[in-house]
Amino acid sequence: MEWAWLAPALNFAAFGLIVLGGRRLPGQGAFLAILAIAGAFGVFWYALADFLGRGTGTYAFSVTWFKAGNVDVPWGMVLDPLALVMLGLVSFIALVIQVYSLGYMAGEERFGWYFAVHALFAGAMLAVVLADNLLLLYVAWELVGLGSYLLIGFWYERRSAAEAAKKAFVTTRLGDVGLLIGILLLFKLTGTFQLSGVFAQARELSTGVLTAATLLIFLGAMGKSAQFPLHVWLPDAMEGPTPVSALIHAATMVAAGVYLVARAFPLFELAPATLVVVALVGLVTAGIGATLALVMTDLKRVLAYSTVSNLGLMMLALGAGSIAAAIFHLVAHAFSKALLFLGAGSVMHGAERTDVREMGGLRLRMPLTAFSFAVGALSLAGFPPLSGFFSKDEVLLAVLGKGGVVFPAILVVLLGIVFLSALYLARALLLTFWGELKEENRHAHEAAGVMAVPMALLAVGAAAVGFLALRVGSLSPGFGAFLEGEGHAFRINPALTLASVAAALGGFALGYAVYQRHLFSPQRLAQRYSFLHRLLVNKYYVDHAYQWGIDRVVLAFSRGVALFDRLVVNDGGVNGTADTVRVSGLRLRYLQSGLVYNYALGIVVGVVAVALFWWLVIPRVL
Amino acid sequence: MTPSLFLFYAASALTLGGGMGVVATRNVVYAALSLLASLMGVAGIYLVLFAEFLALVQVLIYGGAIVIVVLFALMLTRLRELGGPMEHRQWPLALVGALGLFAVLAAAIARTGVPQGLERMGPPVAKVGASLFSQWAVPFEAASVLLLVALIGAIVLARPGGRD
Amino acid sequence: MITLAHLQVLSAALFCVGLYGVLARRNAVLILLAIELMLNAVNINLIGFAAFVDHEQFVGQVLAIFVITVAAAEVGLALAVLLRLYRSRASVRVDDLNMLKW
Repeated sequence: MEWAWLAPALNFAAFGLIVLGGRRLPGQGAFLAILAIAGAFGVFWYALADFLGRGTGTYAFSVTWFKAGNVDVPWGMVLDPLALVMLGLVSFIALVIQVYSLGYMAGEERFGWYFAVHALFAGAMLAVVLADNLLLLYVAWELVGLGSYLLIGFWYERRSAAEAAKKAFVTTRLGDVGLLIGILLLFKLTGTFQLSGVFAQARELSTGVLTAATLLIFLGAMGKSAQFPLHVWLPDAMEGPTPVSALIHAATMVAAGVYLVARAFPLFELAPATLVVVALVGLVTAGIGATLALVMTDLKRVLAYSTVSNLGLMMLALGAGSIAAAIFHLVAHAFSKALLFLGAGSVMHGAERTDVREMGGLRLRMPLTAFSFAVGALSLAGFPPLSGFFSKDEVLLAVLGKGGVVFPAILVVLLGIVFLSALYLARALLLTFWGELKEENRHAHEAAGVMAVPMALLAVGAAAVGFLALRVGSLSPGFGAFLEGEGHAFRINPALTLASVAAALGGFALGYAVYQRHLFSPQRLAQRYSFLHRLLVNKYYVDHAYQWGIDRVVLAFSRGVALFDRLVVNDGGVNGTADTVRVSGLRLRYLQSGLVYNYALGIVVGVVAVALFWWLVIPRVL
Repeated sequence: MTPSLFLFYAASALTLGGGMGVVATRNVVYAALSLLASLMGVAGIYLVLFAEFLALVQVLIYGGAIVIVVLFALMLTRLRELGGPMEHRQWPLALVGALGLFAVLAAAIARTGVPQGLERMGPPVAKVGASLFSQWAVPFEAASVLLLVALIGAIVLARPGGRD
Repeated sequence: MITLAHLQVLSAALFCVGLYGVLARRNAVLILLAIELMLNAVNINLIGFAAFVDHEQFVGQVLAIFVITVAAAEVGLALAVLLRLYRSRASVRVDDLNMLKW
């Protein structure tokens, strides 16, 4: 168990090695990254075995990193069921995707750098997951953001990619500020960064303060997990290479926010107001994501908004009080979405297209890709017995279980979202792989082995992970119980399950009707409801709102500051001082008349002045 | 008004009057002669103060030597172009400065209490002479060397020749 | 009765007169004359103190002798310098000696 720190450490080491000497190694050092992540995966199995042997619980170990004043900042890990699950998920998906990248990024000039940043990212993400104190978590959190920035902007020669990377970084920064303030607030109140310490003292803090702190922490989660209104960076992040989208923006980094809330849940539990906020934000995000995914024409963007929607679902589950449901959905979504992205990547590699309107019938040329994509899509739509079905069900159950007035209303909206999800997934699937194979796409080819195997693995995962939810005798206690203890094992509510399956089927059927059978024309619908259509196509004008804010507020303010800087600091302070010296020198030099009698007069006047000063002023002052 | 007081005032008037003549007149020769008058006045003061030897020295050296030299110098530097003003443009300020200094000095004098009274005493000439050759012998010799040096220097400097 | 104060005031007055001359006159020779006045003022002061305060040794008178000596030497040299200057510039006006000007 104590070896768990190897997981992040190996990856950081790989990053360092590749950066320093990658060029000289075969394959630019990519294999180092893969070795490191495989090592992390191995650590996971070792830890899992250890866990199952000793029984679930929390294992922690820490070492003092530095002392500042009388504050002791440790570097330590905590390994509890939550961390273990995340460890396994992150290492497995990262491993699979790095292997896939060997094929996808082949021929890329900065091949080695790509893998180096992958290793950096993996190390940072694992550090976030294993961290036992808030400061370490924050540092790793920022490193994750850095990795994301570097990878989104990997092809920085493209203007749009550089802009997207900047947008991602800046938007998540907004959230990170909240997180930092929240951490500092907690530190000030409890005197420690250690999670265990903070939780222990949390009961004594006032609800108001806790609400504030948790809201701030949630702000950080909102940034990384693309919750409304900080979701705008995720679709643009598709400028990065597709495996990057699969790893970072589907399965791991965006999950960091969900993980953060889960990790800090003891605090959130004590601040019910925050939980309501979390749930509502999650719901809104889920709705926005689902509606926008319907109108996007770029395949990756459809998947991006789908991610946004599902992240909203996870937050909603957390708001409803169930860590198990949220994390389970996180896992199922990770497998399914990564699979979908890899499929999209395969399409881009094979057919060199990204616009769904230019695709169709690709299953004839890339059957494996089509099949995997279908598995992912169906899973995410919630078809049994795939994993997405189980996880969505648990989310619905959690919401139902909350009772009260708000949550049942949410449930209705949720079912609507399930319907929409099935619809847009069907759209994506059918438009891309079914229908007529266009002339220009005849050359499309299937993915190579190194890309196909990871997809297959993920497909198996997407299909099978769902069953982890259930108890299997004495072998596995079931996911819920594993995470939260006996009382939280998964249950099934037949009515709800029926409703969700019906919604999924309905959505899928509608999709089939519209996009395969062409029973309705989406174009005519768009024309009839043009206002709605425009609203969606412009992404609810959120980006426009941001731009307005930046232009009117931020830039105006910075213009003011620039003016101040130019006038006061530069002209006044810097140039002014120099000019004053120069001008006074110009004036004062006339004192040097060269005529001795002037100087003599000066002496006399000086003597008189000193005498007067001595006799008249000094006695008064002293 | 004792005789000595009267003599003192007379000598002071001559001294100060001559002094003002030095600094005010337009004619340079008049200025030199005013200086002579002033210095004679000073000699008178010395007499009142029982410094007969010094009065003698004063008359001899100043009147007999220095003023003569100055007159020679004035002749040699006869200035044709001296039609202009005799004072600088800063003379008002100079006046103010000088008056100010006088005020300061007068105030200082007023504040200091010093013993009064002039004793009738014997001629101090012998005493002065004695101390000049015993206690002040070294400065005395140094002064002679100084004079020698000044003499030689003056000759060197005033030599006619090309070097400037 | 003559008091020391009389002499001090006289000395101060003569000194200031000479000072004015030094500061205001243009002709270098006249400045020298004014300097002589100042030196004499000093001498008056010294003799005054010798008469009123120092009844044993008359140090004031000794010093005054030295002052006169040095004044004589100085006048000689100064005039020599002025002659030199006159030869090169044809003028003894102090205004023209402004080589230290900015």
